[in-house]
Amino acid sequence: MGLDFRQCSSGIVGAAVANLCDEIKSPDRLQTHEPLEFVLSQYDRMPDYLRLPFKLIAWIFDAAPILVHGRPFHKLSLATRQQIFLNWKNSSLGFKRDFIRFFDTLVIFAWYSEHELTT
Amino acid sequence: MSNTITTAITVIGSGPGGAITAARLAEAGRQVLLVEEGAHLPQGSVPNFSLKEISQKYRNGGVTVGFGNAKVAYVEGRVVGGGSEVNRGMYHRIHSETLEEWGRSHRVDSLSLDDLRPHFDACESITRVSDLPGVPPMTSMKLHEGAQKLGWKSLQVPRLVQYEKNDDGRLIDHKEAMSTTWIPRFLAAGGTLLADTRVSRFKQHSGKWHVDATTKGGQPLTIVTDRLFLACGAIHTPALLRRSGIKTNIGNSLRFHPMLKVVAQFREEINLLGVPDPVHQVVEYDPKFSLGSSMSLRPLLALSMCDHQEYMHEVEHNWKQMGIYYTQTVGGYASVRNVPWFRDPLVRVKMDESSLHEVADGLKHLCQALLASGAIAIYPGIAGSAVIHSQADVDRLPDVLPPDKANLSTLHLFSSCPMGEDRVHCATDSFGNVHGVDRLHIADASLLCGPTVVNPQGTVMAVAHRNVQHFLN
Repeated sequence: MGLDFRQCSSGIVGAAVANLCDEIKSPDRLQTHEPLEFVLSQYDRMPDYLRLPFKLIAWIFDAAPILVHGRPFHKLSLATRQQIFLNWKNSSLGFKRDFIRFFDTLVIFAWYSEHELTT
Repeated sequence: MSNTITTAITVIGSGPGGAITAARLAEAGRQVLLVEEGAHLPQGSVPNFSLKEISQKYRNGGVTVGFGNAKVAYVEGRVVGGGSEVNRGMYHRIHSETLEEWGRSHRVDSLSLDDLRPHFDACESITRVSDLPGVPPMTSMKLHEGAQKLGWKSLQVPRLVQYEKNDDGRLIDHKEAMSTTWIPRFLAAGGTLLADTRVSRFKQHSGKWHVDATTKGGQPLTIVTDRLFLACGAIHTPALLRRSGIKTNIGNSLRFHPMLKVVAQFREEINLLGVPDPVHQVVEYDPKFSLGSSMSLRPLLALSMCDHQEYMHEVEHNWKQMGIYYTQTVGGYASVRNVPWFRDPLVRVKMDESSLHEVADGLKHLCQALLASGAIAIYPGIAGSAVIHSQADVDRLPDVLPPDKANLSTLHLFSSCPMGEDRVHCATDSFGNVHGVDRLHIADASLLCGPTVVNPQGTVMAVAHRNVQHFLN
């Protein structure tokens, strides 16, 4: 099974933004365009030796839910994606936490930067 | 087919070390080519700490991390002017005790504060240093007040900026970066700047250096030069040297100032838009650790609250009551190595127990100062850590920082190719000439023999100025 990194990232960014909006109780601000584009551009800029392992973890992350939910992460409902996102975020395994942290920090920074521009 | 440029002197890297070296050489009448991997952008082309600035001016978009028993995020400028374009420009002259220690540990000749004073003076006459006129911002004052209540020494630190009042009477600052100071002097003296050009390696052939480079459009370029000065920064200078087969004492001893941030929340509004950058630093515990305050724009606050997302609603609704503060220490060791078949170098970090203890100690003192100035909640940059509300909470903080949970970062990297006459440990002689290699020099933070304790840019500039004057004399 191949990985569409954009689709996978889009699914993760959607979950990260939804988590953020839950925390700040603003369900109407689920904008994901700017954070997604920022995440993808930062992936392109990251040190080249990190890209392959990062993509491998992304593939595992996207494919793992097939065993339980019958479909890859990016095709799951938002609520299920949020739950999986949080499971990885709070995992005892460092590589899982680091993977989610990459998305989480970029999404938060991009989301608030965009929000500052529009308010 | 590769294009070829022939020149007498090539300087690679245009940060504080490279820009000053290139400018002084050009002003002395030498034919100089200054090569920079990043773009030549006008000052103020993008807002500070914005998404666009990260994209345009930071190497690897700022996604750069040293790996080891602790992960340490670091940032480097990749733009004409290097790190001076992206830092806040806090300015210090190095302490004489630090220089004396370097003289002893690395046998560096002529490196006392008296030796460096004329070079600090010369650099500061071009890259101007200013004290903040008027009252510092509240985020800064809060730390200062807390330190004063505890009887700790707190200073207002000058910055490499020029302050000016705009039409609304608001104080704005103009950064004294390399792109507005030494680079214009270099160009006025007849130097040639080649931006957007990446150097991959160099080799000696028939008494000349042949430098392999690639322009932005992917066009290969060969630079043939009599003399080579490397100023690519403390990570990329050793990486380039090692790729070029020069490895003795290169990239083994990278040092940095580990930094841990917290967000502090107060009852009153302290974080106002349109005020200058914070300027206070608590130096009571120098050289063990120092305390300071950071820019606290809302996106940066939100980023610093990443480990406490359950409190993100505070950023949403009460961000004006919140500020970012940090403790910075001198511990931490690292090496720089190239990874076969990859372009970017790998930084391997080692934070030993005493280094982790120092950061934890700095964190406790930072929390104490902030509580003393009225903080009602402090959110440490440690995953899973409790929010601090009282001294009892501070007492419960760990004595040794948990390396796998702490979000350490650094802005100050140095010492990867230290200078000195001790050939067992040093990469260059006391003036930046690479040991055992003719006409090859290093002119950046790599040369420094250890942590500067204070912000290193002033020292990098003064040492580069000293070394290039020594070369010209």
